[in-house]
Amino acid sequence: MSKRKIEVGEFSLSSPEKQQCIAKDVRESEEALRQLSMLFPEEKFLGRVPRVVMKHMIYSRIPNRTLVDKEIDELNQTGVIRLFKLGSEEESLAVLFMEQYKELIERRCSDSALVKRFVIKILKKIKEISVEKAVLVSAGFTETDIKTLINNCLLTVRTTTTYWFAFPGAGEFMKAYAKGRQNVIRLIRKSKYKQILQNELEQRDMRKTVQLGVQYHIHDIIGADMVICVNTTSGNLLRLSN
Amino acid sequence: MNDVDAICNLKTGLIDARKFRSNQATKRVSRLCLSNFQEVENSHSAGINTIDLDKVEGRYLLSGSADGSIHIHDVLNQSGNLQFTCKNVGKIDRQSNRYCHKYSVECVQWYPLDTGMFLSSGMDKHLKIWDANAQIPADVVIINGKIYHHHMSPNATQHNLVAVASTANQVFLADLRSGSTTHELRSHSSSVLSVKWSPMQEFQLASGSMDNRLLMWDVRASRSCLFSMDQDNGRNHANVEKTTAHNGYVHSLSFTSDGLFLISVGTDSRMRLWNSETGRNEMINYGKILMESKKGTRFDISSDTEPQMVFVPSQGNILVYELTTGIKRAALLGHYNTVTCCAYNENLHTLYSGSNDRNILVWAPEAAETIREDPVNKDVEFGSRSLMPRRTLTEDAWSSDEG
Repeated sequence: MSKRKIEVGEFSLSSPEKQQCIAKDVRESEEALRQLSMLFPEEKFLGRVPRVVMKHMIYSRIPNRTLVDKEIDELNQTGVIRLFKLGSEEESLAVLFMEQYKELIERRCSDSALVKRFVIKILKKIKEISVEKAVLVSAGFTETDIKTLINNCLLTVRTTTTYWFAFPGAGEFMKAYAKGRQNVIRLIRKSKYKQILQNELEQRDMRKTVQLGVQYHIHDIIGADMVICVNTTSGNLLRLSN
Repeated sequence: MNDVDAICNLKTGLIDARKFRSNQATKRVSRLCLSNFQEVENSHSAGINTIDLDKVEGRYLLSGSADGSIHIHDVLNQSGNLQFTCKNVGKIDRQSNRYCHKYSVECVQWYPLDTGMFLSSGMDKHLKIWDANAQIPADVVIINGKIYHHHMSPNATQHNLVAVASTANQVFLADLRSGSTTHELRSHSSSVLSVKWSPMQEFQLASGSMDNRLLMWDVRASRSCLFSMDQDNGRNHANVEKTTAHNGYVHSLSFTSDGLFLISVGTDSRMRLWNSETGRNEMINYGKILMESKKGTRFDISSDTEPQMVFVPSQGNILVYELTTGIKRAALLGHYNTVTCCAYNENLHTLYSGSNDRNILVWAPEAAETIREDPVNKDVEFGSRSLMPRRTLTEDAWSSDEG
């Protein structure tokens, strides 16, 4: 799709992005995702947890949310990334790059033949975040197979007939993520006027309380609309939004 | 492209008239701010729940409030001055009118074809059909439940049905000719919070309720609803029997003026855009729209701008979003309390909003420096905004010793 030509006399709203939701560069979201995944401190978890990025963190980089959603959807359909639902809210979707996911499950899971079958038959075909039991059974997985997959953290029970997809280390990640986010928000809440400059926040030493790093959480709370980002002469100001 | 060039291009035929109009409308809407020159006369004594602008001329603003009173304001500026107060031309309240609603008024709507009649409904379970000039109800329909919302079809020629959303699980259809409810649409499992007729198809109706579902009906069909809108579009293996449109109550609905899309707002703080033919969620991400009220707000869409804008009340602000991309364009701050409703005037490109702080505010496309002219009508004092407009130049508000 090419950009719409600006015709004679057309008034276009001045904005950083043009109004259309053309998928001009799927790579833009992918680029943002790669940069954000570099923020993840993999060394701290010693390889137990892969580089997870939450989907709403991209909104802090690219303001046009609908465009980001469409691009993520496209990347998901083509198999570059995979989405997982962690947590009960609508927003808590985690994004993992497919290469990292495959490498992780091959490293961490005990039964490699079963895992290979799972990858080929299920992961390649089904791009959604949950799967039905009937589909698994028809792909040739028995009850014991499914139990092994659950033990290896590849599936989680949702209802009697559906399962969520998961990845090993998800629990550890969620705990660190929830705690870190809470601590960062608490810090902002304690400040006078409930706001803090981004530079100041980055300078504070929170290695003990915030495992994932302050930079990671800054993107997270901006994207989740928990803080409003105001541009000031001394950098970005983060103000609590409620 | 400034205005003079645009007008020259229009005259020479380089732009077509509709495009010129929509460009100018978009320019004006992007400059909306609290009006310095216009205001609506302060006559409400309780929080305003609902407002409606008549479709015929966009001249009369009808507002209903929590104490059961209904006020009519004239928003057309015929004084010749820039400074203008919209006068109250009609008031129906408990002191002056014995037919007034006993409890709060939840929804008012002008008759779509002229301003001789309007409908109002409220928590006293009555749907009243008023004669606007005599201020007496021509008829009263009693519904089996407290009414949250009602809507009369804007383009119906083959029927005179008013859809009523109430605490009962059914959508009632009241016929104006007979004066009673003729039809019940059963499918919801909880109170219906909002109903809207499609502006293009006179038999198509959408209803949102407390059971998180948004249903599309054809009132001629003998079976139940046409389809239920699903927020995941059938993916993610949602529970097939109970597809939900929102993760909370669906409390506000609006069709776009071409009838192709439907917007719904829910208590899960989300706004969704649906294709009204297929029921598909268009997956536009508007972000979180914070609201505390579970009852719903009335929001409006500007249909003459390109791109179309949605004005959504959110707590004390009105948020302006682009319809098709979901980018937030502006947040209009001005009210002291929760904003409950807003109505867009296409002729003047102004927005009227009512809130619980008893004010109706006017948002007009004013430039930062507007040239002040000498007032044509010399009697009116040209000064700062005042809540109580002064009658004569020499009158002041202080009491005098001499009496």
